[in-house]
Amino acid sequence: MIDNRQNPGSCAQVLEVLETCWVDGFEVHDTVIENYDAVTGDGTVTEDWDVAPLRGELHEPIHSALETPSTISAHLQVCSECRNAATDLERLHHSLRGGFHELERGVSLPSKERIEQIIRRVDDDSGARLLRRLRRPLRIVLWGAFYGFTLLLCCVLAVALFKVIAALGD
Amino acid sequence: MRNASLKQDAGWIAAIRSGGKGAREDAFRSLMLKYWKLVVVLAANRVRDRRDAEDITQEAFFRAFRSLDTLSEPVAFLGWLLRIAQNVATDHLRSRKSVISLDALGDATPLHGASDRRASLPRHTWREQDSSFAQQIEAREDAEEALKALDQLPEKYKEVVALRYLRGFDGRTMAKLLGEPEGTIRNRLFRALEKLRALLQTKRAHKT
Repeated sequence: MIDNRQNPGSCAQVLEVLETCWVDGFEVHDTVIENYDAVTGDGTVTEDWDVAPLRGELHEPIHSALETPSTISAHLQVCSECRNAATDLERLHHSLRGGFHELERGVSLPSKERIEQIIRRVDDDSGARLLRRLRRPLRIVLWGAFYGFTLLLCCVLAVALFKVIAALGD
Repeated sequence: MRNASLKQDAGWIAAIRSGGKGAREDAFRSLMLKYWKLVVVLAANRVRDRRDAEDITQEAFFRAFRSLDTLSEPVAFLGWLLRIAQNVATDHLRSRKSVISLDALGDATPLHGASDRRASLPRHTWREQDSSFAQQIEAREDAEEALKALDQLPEKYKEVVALRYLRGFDGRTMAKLLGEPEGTIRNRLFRALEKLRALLQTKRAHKT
């Protein structure tokens, strides 16, 4: 028997709180919601239900942006639809947490050799990159020197040729 | 706490960039040990083979460390590393596409272990165990179902859900490390949640 006159907050609001809890980090463990007696104290709610989905640490922004947890739990006491949604959400939370935990457990940390191999590759690559970086300016300098030397040689030859021609002319 | 974790990354990156050889190598090691499992899980989710996922992770770390100078926001290291891992995984899948059908590969090497373990037990064994064992099996099946549903979501949704569950990051922290607005990340988490709930509800409705 549920008395809907005691139904505080709307379903949309409560669902938003629950979804926000999920998004912002809703740990469904450890602490228990206070004021649970206030919800059930008037005797209008006869359905026995565990408030597990609301156990936990609600983040500060949720506290300030929305109603107090006791109001939400009051709504959940009388609204089976939201209660189902909360249960679904909690189940999903546990499933994902368990699933990811299982996946992560199946992965081992990299071996020492693997780590050293990566570090060595990075070091080798940075050495090679430094060499690559140096090679370009070095090449420019060498080509410049070569062109300069060739030009100088040409000039010397031209002067020599000019002198020979001038001597022959005399 | 979460911000401290990102600052710690930034500290290690600073050591890699300007520290001595010893400090640099220690920082490399610390970053690898911190994020190795996360990257392997995300890569395995993509390529469906743990060994390949480990190779992809190794390559991703190498590429990330190699071009660490180009990372402008050290606190965003993880997001950057995940992008690199995604690219490496994409290249890997592309190169394998012509060799083997991915569907067949998925069937051959499933990622989610619960049903494998159950299958490895004689049927009568797991049926006749006590209720806590039955609950464990149910929880594992639930977890497997949730991960399968997650598999059907686009990559960007998977990523935020994985970061939420593997690292416990909230929207703000994820926004920082992925370099996207907080609203976008929160919206993505909301959408991922909606889609997951819808997928699981449909599955359960089919069962009943």
